[in-house]
Amino acid sequence: MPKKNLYLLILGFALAGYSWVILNHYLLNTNNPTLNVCLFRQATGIPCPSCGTTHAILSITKGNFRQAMEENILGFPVALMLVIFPVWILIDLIRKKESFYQFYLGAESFLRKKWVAWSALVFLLVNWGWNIFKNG
Amino acid sequence: MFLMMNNKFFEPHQLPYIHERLLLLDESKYMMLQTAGFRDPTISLVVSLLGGHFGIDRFLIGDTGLGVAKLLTCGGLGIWTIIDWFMIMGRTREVNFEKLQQVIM
Repeated sequence: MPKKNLYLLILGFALAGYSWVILNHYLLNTNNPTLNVCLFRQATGIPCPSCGTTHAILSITKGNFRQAMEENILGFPVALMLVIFPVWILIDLIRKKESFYQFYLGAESFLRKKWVAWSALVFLLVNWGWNIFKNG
Repeated sequence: MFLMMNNKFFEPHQLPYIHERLLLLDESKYMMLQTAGFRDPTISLVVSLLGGHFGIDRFLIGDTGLGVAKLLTCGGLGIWTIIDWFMIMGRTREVNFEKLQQVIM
């Protein structure tokens, strides 16, 4: 993917992500806090591997790291990405460099390594199993 | 011959360009092209319909970063999953074309 498209896409994702977290922050304080948009959960009744990430991010913003871990550990990488990536991209755009693009390409080829892909898959499956068990 | 067997892997508007490039290709690169392993857009669509929510379609075509993004966001809150049902075939052909260009350049 060309650099410009990637940067626009990630900035768009970050904007959508922040809007989503803020929306949920206000919804959780209302009488109807459930906003179940997960297609997989609605179709099967089973939570998907990343269900609970929004709640985990909201817990992280309040400093409740333990609660965030219980909700979904994937909230930590997502929160980190939401904080770091847009800033990194903006710095790149201002300085007219492509350090984030190089990082992205490197991360992609790292994730394609067999042992990394298999470890990630096992971790995700275990986390998913736990997610189903918690919500079961 | 290559185009006759593999035209479904590419966009129709790319075919004349590919044809021209193939005519100039030497034998060793032609052999490499035969083993390049292009992705079938129809398979991508089936995978997208079944496992698109987890980003498996994106992993399949080599968009690992976007696959991770899709996986971590419940398929982009379901919206991206549905968009990809329509986009994934075109993206697969695009990826195939990029792969072809890498081989013949």
